[in-house]
Amino acid sequence: MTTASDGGTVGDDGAVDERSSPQPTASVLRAALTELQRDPRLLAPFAVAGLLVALVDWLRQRDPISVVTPHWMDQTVSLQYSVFPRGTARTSRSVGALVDLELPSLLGAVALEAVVPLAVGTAGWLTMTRVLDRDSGRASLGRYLAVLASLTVPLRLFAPVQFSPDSVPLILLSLVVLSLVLVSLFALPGYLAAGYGVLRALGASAATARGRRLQLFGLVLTFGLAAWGMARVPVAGGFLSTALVAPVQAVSIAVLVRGSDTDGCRRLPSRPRDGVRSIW
Amino acid sequence: MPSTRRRLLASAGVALAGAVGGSVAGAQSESSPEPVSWPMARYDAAGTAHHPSATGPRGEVEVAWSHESTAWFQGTTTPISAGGRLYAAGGGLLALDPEDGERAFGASGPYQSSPARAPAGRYETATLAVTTPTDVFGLNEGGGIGVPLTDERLGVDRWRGPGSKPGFFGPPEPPSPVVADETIYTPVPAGDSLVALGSGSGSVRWRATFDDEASSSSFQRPAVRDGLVFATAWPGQVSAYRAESGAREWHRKLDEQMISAPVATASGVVVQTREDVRLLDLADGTTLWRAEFDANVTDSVPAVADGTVFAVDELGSMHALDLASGEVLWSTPFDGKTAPVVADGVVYAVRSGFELVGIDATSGDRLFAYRPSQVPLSAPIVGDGRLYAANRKRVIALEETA
Repeated sequence: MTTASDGGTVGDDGAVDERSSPQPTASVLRAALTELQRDPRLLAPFAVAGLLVALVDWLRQRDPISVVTPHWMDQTVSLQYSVFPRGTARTSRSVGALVDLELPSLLGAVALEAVVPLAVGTAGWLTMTRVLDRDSGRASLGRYLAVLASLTVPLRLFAPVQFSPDSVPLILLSLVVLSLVLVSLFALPGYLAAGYGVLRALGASAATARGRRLQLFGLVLTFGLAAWGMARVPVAGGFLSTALVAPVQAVSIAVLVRGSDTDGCRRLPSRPRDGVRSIW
Repeated sequence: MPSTRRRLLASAGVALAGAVGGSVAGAQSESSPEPVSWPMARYDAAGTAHHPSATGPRGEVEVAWSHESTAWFQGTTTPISAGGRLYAAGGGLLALDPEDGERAFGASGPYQSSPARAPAGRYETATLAVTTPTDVFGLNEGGGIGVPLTDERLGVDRWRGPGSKPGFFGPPEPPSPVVADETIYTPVPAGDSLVALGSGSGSVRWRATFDDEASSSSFQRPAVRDGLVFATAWPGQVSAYRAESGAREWHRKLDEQMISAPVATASGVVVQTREDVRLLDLADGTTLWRAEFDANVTDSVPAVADGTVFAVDELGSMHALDLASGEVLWSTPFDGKTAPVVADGVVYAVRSGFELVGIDATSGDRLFAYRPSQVPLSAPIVGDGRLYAANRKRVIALEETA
C-alpha cells in the first residue's frame, strides 16, 4: 500500500482505502479529470447522449405540442443538479401537454420523452462501469435505469403539485434536508453500476457520504452550477451540459465508489491506471 | 366517456404513484342535453355579444340553481358554455353541468378571465384559453386527470403562453382571449402586444405592437372577422391585422383617447370612445359615421345585433343605434358601465356589476331587473331559456319566474 501525496491511501492494485480521510472537492474533480484524460473514450457515451438531447430539444420546438422553457433559463443563478448524471435540456414538456393527445401523437411524444432518460441512463452506466472496470451485466443496467426512472417520472408527473414553504425557517429546513438527501444519494448511481442491489446501493451510498458530506455537497454545487451554466449557452446548451458536465460527474462518482466500495469487505478490482494515483 | 388515452395516462399515473383507484373526468356530460354554445366572452370572435339562436328570460327571473360549494372560486368574469358544460374562471377553472350546477371538475389556479374554447388539432379535447393578470394559459377542457385521494388534478394546464410582469400600478384586469379558426388572439396580459397563438401548443404565430406609440397601454379584447383582426388600445388607436400573418392592414389614431374594445360587423368596425360611438370602414379604418352623446364612457363595450348597436353613455342612458346610419332608435334610462349581450330580441345588461336588467331590443322597454345577494355579478350568457353568470363566490343560473 502506498500513500498518495495528497494524504489518501491507495492499495497496490489501485483500489482506495475507504478508511482514509476525505479530501477537498477539487481533489475528486482532479481525479475524475485525470481519469478522463487517461481514457478519453469515457467521453463518448455522453457525447452521443448530448447529441440526442440537442436533437430532442430541436424536435420539441418544432412539433405541434406545447414545449416549456425551463424557468431556470431566466434566473440569475440556478443549480441544475441530478443524482444520476445527465444533461440539462433547454426545453421540457409538461405532463399536461400529453393528456388527451390523439394516440399516434401520444405515442410519438412519449417516445421522445423516454429516449433521453434512456440514453443518458445508459451513457452514465457505461461510463461508470468502464471506470470501475466491471462487467456488471444487464441486470445492473436494468436496475440503474429503473431507479433513474423511479426518481424522474414522479417528479415529472407531480411537478404541478408544488411545495412552496412560506416561512424562512421552513425554507432553510427544506434546503438542509434536500442537501442531506442529495449528498446521501451522491454515490448511488455508482453502486448500481457496480452491480449492487437497490437497497444495498442505497445503504452503501449513505455510508460513503458519512464523514465527507461537505465534500460531496461541494460536488453537488459544482456539477449543478456547471450544468446550468453550460445549458444556458444558446442552441448548443443541451449538448454541452450533457457532453461535458455529465461525464465528469459520472467519473467522479465512479472514482468515489472505487475508493469506498467494500463489496463484501473486498475492494473492487481495478484496471492498471498508468500512474494515476488515488485521492484517498 | 373517458378516452382510451385518458385511461392509459390515468393508469400510468396511478401505477407510478403507487396509489389505488382513480377519478377520471370525461369531456362530455352524458345525462344532460347539450345547451346552446357560448364559446367565449362576447359570444363570437367578432365581439358582437349576440347569439342568433339562443333564448333567454323575457320576464322576472329567479335563481334556477346556484353553485356555491367550491371554496376557492371567486369569479367576476363571464362564464362560457361549450361541449355540454359551463366553464367559469376565477381562482381556478370550474366546470359545471348547466342543467343543475353540479360540479364536473374544478382545478384551482391563477385563471381569471373568461375562457375561450378552441379546438386543438392533435388533442381529443379542446383547449380553453384563459388569462391571468400576467400570463396566458391553455387549459384542457376535459380537466386532465384526477389524482386519487386528493383534490389535485394532473394535466389541467396544457400550456402556458406569453406573459409580462405586472406594471407599477399592479396587475390590470386580465383580458379575454378570442378564438377563430383554431387560433387564439389575445392581448398579452400587462403587456403592450397582441399575439396569435396556436391552440394546441400555445406557440406564438405572430405578435403585434403599436410600435409607433411609446405610450400605448395594453390592447383591448380584439375582434376577428373575415380574416382580419381588429385591435384597439389607449390612446385612441385602432389597427387591423391579417389574421394569418399579423401583417398590419391599416392603422388609425382617433381624436379621442379613451376607446373601447372593437366589434366587427359586415358594415364596419364599431368602436366606442368617451363621448361617441363610431363605425369605421373595414377596409381602411376611415370613419363612416359618428354618433355623439352626452357621455363619459370609460369601461363599457357595445353589442351589435340584427343591424342595431346597443351602447351606454355611463351617464344614465342606454341607446340603440342603427348600424347603417348611426341614427338613435331609442334611449332608455340605464346607470353605470356595462357590456350588454343580446339574444332573442332581449338585451341583457348588468349595471356596474350589481343589477341585471332585461331590455326589449326593439322598443327599449325594461322587461325585468334582478339584484343578486352578492356583488359583483358578471355579464351573463344566454342558453335554453336561462342566463348563466359568475357572481363572486358562486355561479348562478337564472330562469324566468314560473
